[in-house]
Amino acid sequence: MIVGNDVIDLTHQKYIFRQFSCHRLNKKIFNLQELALVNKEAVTTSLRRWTIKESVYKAYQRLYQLKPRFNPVSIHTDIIDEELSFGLIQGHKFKLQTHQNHKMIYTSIFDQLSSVSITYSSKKDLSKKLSDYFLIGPIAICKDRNNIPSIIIVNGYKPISLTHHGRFQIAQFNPL
Amino acid sequence: MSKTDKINRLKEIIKPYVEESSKLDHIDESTKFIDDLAVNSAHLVDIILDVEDAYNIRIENEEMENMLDVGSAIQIIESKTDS
Repeated sequence: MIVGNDVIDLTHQKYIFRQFSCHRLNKKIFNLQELALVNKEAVTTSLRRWTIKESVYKAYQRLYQLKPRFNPVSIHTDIIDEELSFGLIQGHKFKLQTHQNHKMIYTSIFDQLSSVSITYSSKKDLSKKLSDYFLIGPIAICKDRNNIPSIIIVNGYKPISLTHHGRFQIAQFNPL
Repeated sequence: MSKTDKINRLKEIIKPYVEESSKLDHIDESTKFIDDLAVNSAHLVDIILDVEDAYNIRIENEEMENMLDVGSAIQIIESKTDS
């Protein structure tokens, strides 16, 4: 199961990128095709592209157990409509869904196996909510040598993706 | 400029993006921006821009890919400034 998610608290927008919309910054995030769109679209749409890139990076890194790297330009974003988008990296195409309102932009890898996204307020709160989903005692989360998080369950590990910005902390996982 | 001076100069650049300033007390070359200092990945781009401005250099996207810790940042700066 593939997970990957990212949230932006729009009330903290100025704290996301210090110089968002600056051309020098955009050139470090977006490829040429995207730059042509970014120059014309709403800032929130460009911020949504960032959440797509972050979600795809997390999914791709987990898929191939890659060392951390930072190259947002290498991920191409294709926005289809208000919810659906695709992210492409190294020949891989990921389908994503976005929930957006005036407070936040939340994007996650679309998973047909019914992954869920839950908000949480602290590590303790997340552990409790996961325990409720899996109907077992306190649940711990570990990170591997590449800083990829997993839920520790009785007979192994389950993928989980975590994102935090401003007031929002959201986890994506599959409860099945 | 000594290694310590280089780390201290970088520390000043990073400081605005680290929420918990005590995390900066013991940084060294192995310190990772995201894992150890909890720098938001979006702010990594800001740090790279600030480094470019501070040293009057340009960092290409391929170089940026590995600029995830203090040591690699200093290495890139050194390769661009011959210092």
